[in-house]
Amino acid sequence: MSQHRRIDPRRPFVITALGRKRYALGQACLSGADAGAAATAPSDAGKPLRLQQPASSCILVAAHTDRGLLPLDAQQAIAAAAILAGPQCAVLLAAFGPLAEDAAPYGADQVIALADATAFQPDAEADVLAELRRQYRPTHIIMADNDIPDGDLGRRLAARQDLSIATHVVELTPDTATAYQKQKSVYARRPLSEVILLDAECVDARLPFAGRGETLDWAPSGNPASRYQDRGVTAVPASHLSLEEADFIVSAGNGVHDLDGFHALAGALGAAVGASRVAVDDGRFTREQQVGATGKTVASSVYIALGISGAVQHLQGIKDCRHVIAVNTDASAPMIKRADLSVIDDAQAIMRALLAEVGTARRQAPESGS
Amino acid sequence: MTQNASHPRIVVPVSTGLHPVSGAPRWSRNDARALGLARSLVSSFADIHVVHAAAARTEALDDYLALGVRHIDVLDVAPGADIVPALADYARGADLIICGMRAEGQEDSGMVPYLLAQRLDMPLLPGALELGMEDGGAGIVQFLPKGRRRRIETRSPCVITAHPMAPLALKYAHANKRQGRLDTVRAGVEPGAASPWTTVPIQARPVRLAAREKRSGHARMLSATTTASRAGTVMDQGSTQEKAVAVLTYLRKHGLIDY
Amino acid sequence: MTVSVAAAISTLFWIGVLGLIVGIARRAALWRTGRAAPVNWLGLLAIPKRYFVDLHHVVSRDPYIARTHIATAGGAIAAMVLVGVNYGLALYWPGLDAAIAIAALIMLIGVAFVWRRRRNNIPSRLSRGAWNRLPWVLGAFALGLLLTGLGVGGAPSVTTMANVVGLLTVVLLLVGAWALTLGAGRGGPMKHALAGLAHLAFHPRPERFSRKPAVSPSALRPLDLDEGQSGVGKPSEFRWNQLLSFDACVQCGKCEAACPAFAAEQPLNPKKLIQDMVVGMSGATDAHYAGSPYPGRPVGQHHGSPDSFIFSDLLDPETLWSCTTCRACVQACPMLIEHVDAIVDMRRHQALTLGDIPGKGPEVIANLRETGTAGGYDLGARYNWAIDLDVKTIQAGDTVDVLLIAGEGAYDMRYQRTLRALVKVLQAANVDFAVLGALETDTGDLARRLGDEATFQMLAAKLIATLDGLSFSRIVTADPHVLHCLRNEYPELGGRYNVAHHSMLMAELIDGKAIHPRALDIDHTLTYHDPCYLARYNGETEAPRRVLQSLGIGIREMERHGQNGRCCGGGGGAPLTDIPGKKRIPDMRMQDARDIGAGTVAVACPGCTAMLEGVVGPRPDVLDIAELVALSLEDGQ
Repeated sequence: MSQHRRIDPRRPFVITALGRKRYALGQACLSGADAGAAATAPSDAGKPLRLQQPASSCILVAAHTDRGLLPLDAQQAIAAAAILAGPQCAVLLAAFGPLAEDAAPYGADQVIALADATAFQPDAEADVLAELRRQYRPTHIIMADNDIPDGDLGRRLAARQDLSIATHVVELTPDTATAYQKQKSVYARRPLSEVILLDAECVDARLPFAGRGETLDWAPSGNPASRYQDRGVTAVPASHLSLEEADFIVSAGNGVHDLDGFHALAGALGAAVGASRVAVDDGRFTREQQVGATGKTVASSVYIALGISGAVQHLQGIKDCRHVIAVNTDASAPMIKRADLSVIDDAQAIMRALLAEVGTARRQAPESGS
Repeated sequence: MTQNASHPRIVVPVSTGLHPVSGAPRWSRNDARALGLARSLVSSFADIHVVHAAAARTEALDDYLALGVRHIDVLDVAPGADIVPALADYARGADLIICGMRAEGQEDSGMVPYLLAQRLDMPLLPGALELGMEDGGAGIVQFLPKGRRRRIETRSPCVITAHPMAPLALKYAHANKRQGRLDTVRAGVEPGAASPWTTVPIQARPVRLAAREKRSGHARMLSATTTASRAGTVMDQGSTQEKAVAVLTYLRKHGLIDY
Repeated sequence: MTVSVAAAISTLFWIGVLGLIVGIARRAALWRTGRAAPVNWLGLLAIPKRYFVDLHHVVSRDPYIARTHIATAGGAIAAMVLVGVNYGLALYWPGLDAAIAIAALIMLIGVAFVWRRRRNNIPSRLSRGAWNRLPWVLGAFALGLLLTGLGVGGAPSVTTMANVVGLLTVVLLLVGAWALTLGAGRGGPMKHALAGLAHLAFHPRPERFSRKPAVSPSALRPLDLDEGQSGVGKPSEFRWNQLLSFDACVQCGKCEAACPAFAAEQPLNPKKLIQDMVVGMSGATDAHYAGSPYPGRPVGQHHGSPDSFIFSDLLDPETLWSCTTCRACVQACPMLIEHVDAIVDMRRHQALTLGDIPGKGPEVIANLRETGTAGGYDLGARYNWAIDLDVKTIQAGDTVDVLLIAGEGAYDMRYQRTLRALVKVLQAANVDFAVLGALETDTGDLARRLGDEATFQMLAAKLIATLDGLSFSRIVTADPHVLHCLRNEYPELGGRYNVAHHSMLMAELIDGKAIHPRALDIDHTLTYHDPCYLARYNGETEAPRRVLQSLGIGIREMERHGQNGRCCGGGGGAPLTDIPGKKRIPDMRMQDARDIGAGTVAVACPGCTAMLEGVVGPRPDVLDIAELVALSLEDGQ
């Protein structure tokens, strides 16, 4: 038999964002969609432990949990600590709020869960971190720089303990931290500070290793009176939120004629209402609801585009949306290429079906307290 | 939350912002929100002490006059010096200090309100969208992501930081500039420590910190070329109901709905 | 009845004169609540020329009413002069009586036509109320004059019949006299005669009447910001001759019929706006207004007084910001009223004193202040579209013939196609031209139309300083707003440049055989949409048409074209303030094009390009004339 390897004419490919097939040579036979999924979601199972030796130092990561889970920016902070930590340096996670998941896959070696920390108690939390700092002497304290709650806590700690701090760090190396200054017109670089607050794009949270994930039994020693009274958290109904803030948006384009059904669906989903320029110009929606380059730029987690073809200006408006679901009768529309999930069907029919499904699901689900 | 019957002493520090594209000095949009919050508590700008601690520029201060500010105290701080001690001395005795969360043309670290609060031993309420005062206390509606809001209260004197998405009711009107004035106040100059920051011109995008890993060249190539790829699924087979179920499944799978 | 009719008429005449003086004084007192402005008494001498020549040009567009007015007004004036001579001076000559009768007859015929206009199918633009009563009042007066002229006055008052007729004559004359004198003083319809003539004499824009005016008649006038001038916030802040101009309004509604915002049912009606200014000046309410209201706003809910703020008791802000500054109202007005000046004056107050501009206006003005571009873009990127076209950027010390100024359209992807086409045409013709590159800052036109005079003057000073440091013969631009600013409005701020529109330049190049465009084969109808700022503001309607014709394209004109063209809705900051109406202005203009079966609409302005391209649904193509010329040069030359 010839030594030449035959190239499989139907070799596997992935579909890129522009809708083109990209052939990757040397890949074992996988069908198109699977290959893409495989490339972007490496398996979690069986990752080796990073910390193989006993730890003589640590990096402290502090984060607030969200409904029992560690949000993405917390995962990034833990990953940063794990990447910077040397072979004898442990990653110590102080989690404020109930923690229902294992922190080991994120790279945390030791976990202190402070499940009672749910209200706004920054003084108490800063005290906890100060005490942890005294006790464990971390080389650095790494947190996510979201404005509230982690960024706030990190700044309080640095101010109170007179620690060096680097905020909104966009580039981190083992020696330096870099942030923008002067309205993002220059970089400013400094040696690693004691407190490091990370910007959203700074760290890739995917790790080829795992942490040990050992839970430490630790409780704060004091219980100081708080200067703050937390009067509670309320959720603003989606209809009152500005589109830029909304996390779940349902958007109507030229293909949506059943306005009552559309608004009913938005209400059932608890979603904010957006529209393409065509629908606004036709008078079906107000200018305030227009999404796109001349309308609003939105950055929601979910964007459901019903009957929107996806003109360039509209796609510009949704470029920061995390999950885009498109419903359109035209499979060659630009929106289909942009969407994470596309459904080729009539928008009216899908809206009715979805409304029914959401209604059933809500009735069957247990009352979720948020 | 009712307004304070007596006149609270409100201090609002303002800074010079830079336009993100042209770099032109201009009023800081975040500081203007702080001014707006202050203005919502009193009957006129005359009741607010607006202060500018300048490392250098004063060009943007006219913009604050156009927004309606009647009078700005300019603390003459030497370039490179720490502005926090000067601000703290000025603001001592205030009932409320309302700042922006983050400057728009300086170090932009967001640390000044915290250092001020620490130096003056005041509580700090961050991220305010709305502000109210009661006798002896202040309360805010705090911005939280994903469309949530939290109400917090504390005793005054305290520091409040205004969230960038707080409503802006102030309007820019040129005629106002003629009625405003700037006063320079000599500030005790505390020489600042040498800054640990080195400025570097931007020549490339920041490099993401990622774990070094042993992946095959193929895997690295794939992730390099297809990380931007959504690899979106297209469903054109099946009944309408099946498609609707698929949408809900997708939402559940990614934790976007909890039912 | 011992008093003879003739004596009664004589007395009535002199009472009438007195009444006229009182009426004028009463109106003048209202005008004088306004700000001082230079009074050129010589203007009174200019009335005949301005009336018979300049006014005639406007009025003669509607021949029916023009001739009717000549008959009515001419007859009335002639009759009254004759009455003054014959009865006022107590001459009582029968010959003059005959002349009076003839004049009265002419007037009566005119009145009959006025009445006919208002009888069936009364145009919706006309006001009812007192204006519907006017033909009767004038008819009564004419009848009275006729009876006077027929010698009733001379008959000895013996028989009952003669007495009754004499009494009737006096009563009829009284009705007319009231309307012309004290009634006019109180704001009745006939005040237009007094105010109209005075307006011709003391017009706030005398340059309108000059063949070679020192200042452009369409340029807005600068404010002296250092003096604290900041527009009009109360009716008394208009100049007195602006208040006079409002009184001249005859509520004919030609402005309303021409206004694109009114047609789109936005809450603006130029006629009612002027009448509301009268309401403000006279301290009344708008309850007696009998014409079309602001769409969606009922009549009778607003009032004003000279020293009260206009907003929001007298006007709603949406009325002010709906205007596109297209000048169709000014173009149409037979009383030569300057509606746009009044609107911009009010906008100036709102912008400068309150910063109260709706929609995206404040954001865009902030961009202009902070970046020199309306969209907040990088100045260095303005000419990125030309990067592969080998276009020269002017340096200090160079001398070029033509400086091409692109304007804000250079940042719009659609309009960049037009600019590229224009560059190709200029290069094919070997025109010595250059661009400003990153030195080009905005002219400030948008800020000025929105009323922010301070930002405008700042930008103008900046651009003038840039241009004065460079050496070029003339400026050419494809943007009529840039054209208008640089040519008409910068001179008063110190910048004097020779500015041409690209249609004029291309016409010259074609005429001068610098380029030889081949005939373009277009298999469908083409129409040309006149930009407001080129046609009405600068009077240029021919050059673009010549260019199109030299491409072998026959133009089918839309019904409203040339100086009467309908706005696309893109001017005056209207797309930014975005006041909603029932329809959209560009949709209506595109419908005009569809109505004549056009397959292509040729445009000559970036605003028109953007607005017309934004019309949804099947529609004609939109192409700039530069693109058509470039197309025709592709295989030729």
